[in-house]
Amino acid sequence: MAEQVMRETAQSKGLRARDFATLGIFSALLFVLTMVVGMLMNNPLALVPWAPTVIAVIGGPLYLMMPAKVGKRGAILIPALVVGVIWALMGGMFVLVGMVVAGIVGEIVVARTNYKSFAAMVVAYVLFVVAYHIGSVSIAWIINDYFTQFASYPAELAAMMEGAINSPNGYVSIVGAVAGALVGALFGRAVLKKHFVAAGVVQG
Amino acid sequence: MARAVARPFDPRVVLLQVVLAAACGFCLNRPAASAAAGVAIAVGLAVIGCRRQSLLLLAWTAGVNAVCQGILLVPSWGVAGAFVVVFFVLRKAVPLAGAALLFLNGVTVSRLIAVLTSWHVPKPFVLTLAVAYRFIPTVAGEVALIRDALAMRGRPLSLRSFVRAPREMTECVLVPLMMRCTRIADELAASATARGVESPAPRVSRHELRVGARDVALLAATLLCAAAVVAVEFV
Repeated sequence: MAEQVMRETAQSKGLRARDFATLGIFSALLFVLTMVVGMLMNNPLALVPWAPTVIAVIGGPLYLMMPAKVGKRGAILIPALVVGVIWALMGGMFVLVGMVVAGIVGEIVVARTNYKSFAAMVVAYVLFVVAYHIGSVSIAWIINDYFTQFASYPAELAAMMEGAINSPNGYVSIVGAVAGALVGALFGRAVLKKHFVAAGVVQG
Repeated sequence: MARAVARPFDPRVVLLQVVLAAACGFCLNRPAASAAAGVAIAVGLAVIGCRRQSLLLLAWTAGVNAVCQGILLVPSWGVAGAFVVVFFVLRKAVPLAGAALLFLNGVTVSRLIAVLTSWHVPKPFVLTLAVAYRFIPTVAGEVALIRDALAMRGRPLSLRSFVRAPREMTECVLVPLMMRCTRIADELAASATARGVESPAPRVSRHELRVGARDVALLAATLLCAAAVVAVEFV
């Protein structure tokens, strides 16, 4: 019986303990990266829309590590869901919605290439970044009422906040996020090739 | 004579508190309602045994509201206005901070797994979420080790060094961090495998999910507080 269980486990094509651990740890790193960079770039507020661009560049190696090391069904969807759920439990409901969509589409795209194509991973990463960006920036649009009606601060600050929220930067920065994701993916591939493929941690 | 240890609250009730707190962060606009939510969440944290986090949230609520009131006393802020408005964002974020504190401190990993398994959430997602949830608080320690190593080699981890050599510094931090995380993942996987995580048999938990009288009381108090906060917002 025990031998049969062990055989079944070893032959399983699904995710194994090592895969759960890798996906969980790198998802946590991605989440912490978004939190830390987000906090560092929330002052002055004009920097906020550009935080996803910086996150996308730094997060490239972290994101690409997951499909490169795991390479099985779920390597794209599960991290997106994990990051989205943690965000949702901390107030970022719209990040979760974006992550569900980006995770499903990204998983389909990458799975079609059997987790081997760099171009497919880039598409998944761009979707991930854009979903995160729209999810996080939409919070500012939603809390618009707070700043325009309820914050009750001087007209000068109210005008400044309204200007920041309704500025076209929020839309323009989507382009910045896509560019950041492309740069991050190239940076990630270079880092993986230089350090991790050479060390035998992931396959080339 | 040893004191009897009270059974922890049912994690589903605590998760409901987290969801309500996060919803408050979205829906509440009036500063008074936001502050009331902060106090209610702080009381909730104290009740479930997280007293230090409760005090932290109370301090945040009081501090940020005091600073905002102080800012309002100054007639004009000029260019500095771009920086001081952040305090109003922090005031708005009080319930969200409460939700984060509740989530990170109110539910242990094993209880979270027990709840999600009882809801028939797929195992791959449950285990990955559990690993991430457990790993988040340790990331700062891992980065601190890298920071010390970089400092010893004359490359302090600072904003200035990032601005001077962004690619090099990012690589200097990311590569050791990722290498270390890969090793931690392998060790964690070996430990989990030894404990039967890959077994196809149904998972059982030593945590009993049972809603008792205390849980019902906490649930009622939570719903009452939520109703009171909503009343402050809309009435």
